[in-house]
Amino acid sequence: MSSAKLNLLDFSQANIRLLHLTWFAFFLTFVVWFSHAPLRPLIMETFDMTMDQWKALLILNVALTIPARIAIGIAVDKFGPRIVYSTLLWVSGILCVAFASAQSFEQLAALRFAMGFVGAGFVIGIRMVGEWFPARQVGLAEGVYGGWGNFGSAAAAWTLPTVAAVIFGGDDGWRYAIGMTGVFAFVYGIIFYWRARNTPKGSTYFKPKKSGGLEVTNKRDFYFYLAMNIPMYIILGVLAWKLSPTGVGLLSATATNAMYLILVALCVFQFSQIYKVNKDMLKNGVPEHDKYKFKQVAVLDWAYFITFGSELAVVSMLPGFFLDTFEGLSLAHASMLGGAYALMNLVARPSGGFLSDKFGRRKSLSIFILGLSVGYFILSQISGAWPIALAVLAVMFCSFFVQAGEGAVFAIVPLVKRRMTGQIAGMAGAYGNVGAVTFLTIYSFVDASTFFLIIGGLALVIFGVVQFLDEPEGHMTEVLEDGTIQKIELT
Amino acid sequence: MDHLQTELKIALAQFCDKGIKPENQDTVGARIPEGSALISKGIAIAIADGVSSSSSAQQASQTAITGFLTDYYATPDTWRTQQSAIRVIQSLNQYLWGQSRNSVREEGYLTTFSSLILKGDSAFVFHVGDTRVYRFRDGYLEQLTRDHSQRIDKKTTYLSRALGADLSLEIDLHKTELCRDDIFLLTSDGVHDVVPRSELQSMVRDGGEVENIKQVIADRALALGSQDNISVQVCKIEALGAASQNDAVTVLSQLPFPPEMEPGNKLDGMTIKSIMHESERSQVYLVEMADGRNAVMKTPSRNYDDDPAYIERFVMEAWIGSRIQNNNVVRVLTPEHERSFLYYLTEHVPGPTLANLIKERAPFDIPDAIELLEQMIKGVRAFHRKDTLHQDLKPENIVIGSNGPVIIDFGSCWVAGVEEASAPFKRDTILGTLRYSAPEYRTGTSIGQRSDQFSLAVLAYEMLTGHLPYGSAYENQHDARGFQKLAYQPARKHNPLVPPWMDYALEKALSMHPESRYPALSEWLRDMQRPNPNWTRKEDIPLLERNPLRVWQALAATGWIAAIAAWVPWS
Repeated sequence: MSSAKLNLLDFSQANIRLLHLTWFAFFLTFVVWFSHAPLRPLIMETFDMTMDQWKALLILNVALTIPARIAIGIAVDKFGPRIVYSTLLWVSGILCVAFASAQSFEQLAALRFAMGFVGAGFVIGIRMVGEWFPARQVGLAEGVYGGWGNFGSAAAAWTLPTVAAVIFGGDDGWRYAIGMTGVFAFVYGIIFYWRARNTPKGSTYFKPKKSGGLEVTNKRDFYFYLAMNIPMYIILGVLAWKLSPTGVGLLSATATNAMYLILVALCVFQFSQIYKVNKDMLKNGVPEHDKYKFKQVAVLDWAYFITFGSELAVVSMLPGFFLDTFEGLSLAHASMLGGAYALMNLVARPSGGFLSDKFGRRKSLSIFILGLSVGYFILSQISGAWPIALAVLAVMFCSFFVQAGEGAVFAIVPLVKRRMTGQIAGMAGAYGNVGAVTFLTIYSFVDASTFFLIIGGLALVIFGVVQFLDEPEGHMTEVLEDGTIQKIELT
Repeated sequence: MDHLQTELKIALAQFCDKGIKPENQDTVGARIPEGSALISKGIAIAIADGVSSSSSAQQASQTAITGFLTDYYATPDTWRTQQSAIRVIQSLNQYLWGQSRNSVREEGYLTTFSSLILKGDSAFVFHVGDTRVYRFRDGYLEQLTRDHSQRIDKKTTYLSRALGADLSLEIDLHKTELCRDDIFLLTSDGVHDVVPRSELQSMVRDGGEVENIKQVIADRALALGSQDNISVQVCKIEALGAASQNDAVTVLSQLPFPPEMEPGNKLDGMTIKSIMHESERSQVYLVEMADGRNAVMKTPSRNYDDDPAYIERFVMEAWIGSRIQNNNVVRVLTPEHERSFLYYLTEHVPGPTLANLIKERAPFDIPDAIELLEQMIKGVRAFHRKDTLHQDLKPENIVIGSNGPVIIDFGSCWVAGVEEASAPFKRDTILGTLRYSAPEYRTGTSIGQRSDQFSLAVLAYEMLTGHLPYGSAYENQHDARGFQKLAYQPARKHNPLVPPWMDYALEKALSMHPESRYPALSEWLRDMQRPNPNWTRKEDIPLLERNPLRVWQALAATGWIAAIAAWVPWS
């Protein structure tokens, strides 16, 4: 009902300035995070890599993000978003330059793995934007933040191949191009620290409430919640297996076993944390008005798994896919077309939220997921015989639904349980990353066409899952003709 | 907000009889209020035994009990239980002492006094003399009070403390949590001198209903040949209350949050004229009431619509504001219609905020700044008189209206008495705005009225200079060590017109340690208005005054050196 107006050009407003600062920081993390994707042939050539090794690199890039989100979340609670974001930019800048100067595949792999934590930048900005905008505007502001930031991968795809080939040139052109993004990130980290503030001037500082695990409200949900955490560990386990001597052979057998052990230990630790948060509930129960259904969270998690997860995976492989599929395409050209996927972020994500509020949330989300399923089926049919323009159109069609779906998920998150918005958003985000690792792992076994087909199929399954979503209660008020605000009596 | 609906319930039985004595000098009494007083004040039970050697013993014990039961319930709701009870007992003591002094027949008005206050889920015991309070729990009877008596020999004991004995009185106090089925026993020495504890214990354990317990104990004391008046009160806890402020809180906190509104929207007969301010935590609107007056409406942010800690605090804000009546504090208005949503109204004070003024005009002329400060102090003292700390004094929270500065916003106030009420959720820990809040908010040491003094001093400093006293590094500190490293930057550095004595007053009020600040705001204000004569520092006294001898010596030495130099054949 509230017309959320946000004048993004009004730089006299401190919160608008902060929004721009923040989305650009997020944007740069995405540029750095996906700077390798469009430069595939150059990197593969330099290191004489096999396709399998390249695919392993893609998975490594998103693996660390899952645990890193938790660490970053704690750091933000403790130190505040400003310094954490700056540090993230500095560290990622340094790692990025190191990646650009790697001398062996092992170094490349290790650094890509380390850079996985750059992907956890999203949460920091969400917290910051939340502090700066009133309830009326915060949804839209976070849409701008998320959407424009995600666009960073498209920007990387569009510019880096050209920069590598035209501006720097030579065999090491890609190194300079990637290194440059690292330098940018580093410098911007300084600018960010200089200009950004944790809270509006003169605003009261609130200590964050305790975190550690999601509070659930009955015993069944408690076990359900525990179960929902298991896929994260399974997929990380699969990743470790993939890197073991049985797979790419990047890790020794001992190291792989150590990895398994660490994962089990992490899992036990997290379960104990979850138990700690919910101990009281399990013993005494919760008052009626405080109850919510964990099912809602689970459905949103899976929806984000298919939307954001597939986006991260596809953004990593799409430039290479275009290069492989259409002969005679230059690298710059292919990356440009691949970048078309992330382009839709600018509008699709915010409009997904808007449509969801307007036309019913379950219905919208269902349509978006059905749409993306169709989209991926179409992508799986793309062959060299297709006109390129049509292929790009198909990509954009698909990505619209993907990103609108992301927007819709995040429009529902605050309605599940307002008090726990942050934690629920965090869990959905983690599932997005689980999706990315899952899909890229799948990609490491199959060709592109089958890859799209599998995502499309999984989307249909998740379409079914989404039907379990209860339509969240909407506004409890209405505005009469003369402007009077009235309560809607719920019966 | 279920926790607000449970009520404390007790069963009570009392017995008071003269026994074999000719006159009954004991008095017992209790008051079990209903509604909001039950929650804010609790149940009071008291016993007094007039000291037998004093002839006006009966009158003294009656005065103590009736006085206590009336006066305790008349104390302001914001006072803590301890504070209320102790103040009331102290004043009764003074009254009785005065009676003894003025008595023509030189009679002493002396009495023992023990009282039990049950509030929410806690019990408070206040005690003077040799009446006793016992608690029976888990089969064991424990004496909570200590007799104030002195044994001279086997037969004689003297009361060492009593109400009315001396002008200064020390009151024992004891606070404990309540459990369901606890039984409290209050007795006078006519009972506990003859009936041993172990016997009382078995009588309470086997007695059943309170009425019965009371009767058994009284009969037993008589049977054992008690020489004194016999008084006993038995109180059993049947249901615990989870304490909170008052019923208004319950009612208000069940109202829904209003949506975000646009100018032109109408709510409960009021029209929204404009959005004054919006933040992550709340919205503030300018509204026109049905009678055409303007008012300011504050509404909670829907970011928190299921956060009980936030809702409690929001409801408290209006309540805190409504009990402070001062020209320098914004007035809370009662809406004309019944509220259908959660919000509260304050009067609208047109004018710029202090923040705007500082931005435009700082440094202020010194007389202007001091005048503003004086009025702000008046406002803050109105809070302190109600046992309330403002905790978030900052330029944005002060509006300069046509009649001087007005403190708005009660969002961070701390009220004594509320904190002792327990709630099943974690209360919001609110820290004031970093740059204006005293270091103790971050180091975690005790917070008091001097914390508000610090914030006021930052404001004064900023008005005088346009800068902050410890620079921008202040807001980044987290522990005591960090704060100790910061140095006060004299206001003179930024504004040469600030006299040194004013700087010292500022520096003292801005001490990192609360104990080093002024004990009272009035003292600080006085030092800000005129130089404190005890206070001139060494470096401000001319050398000639400070050490005349050294000055003349130096002068003479220079003369000699010059003279010698003139004599030396230089070439």
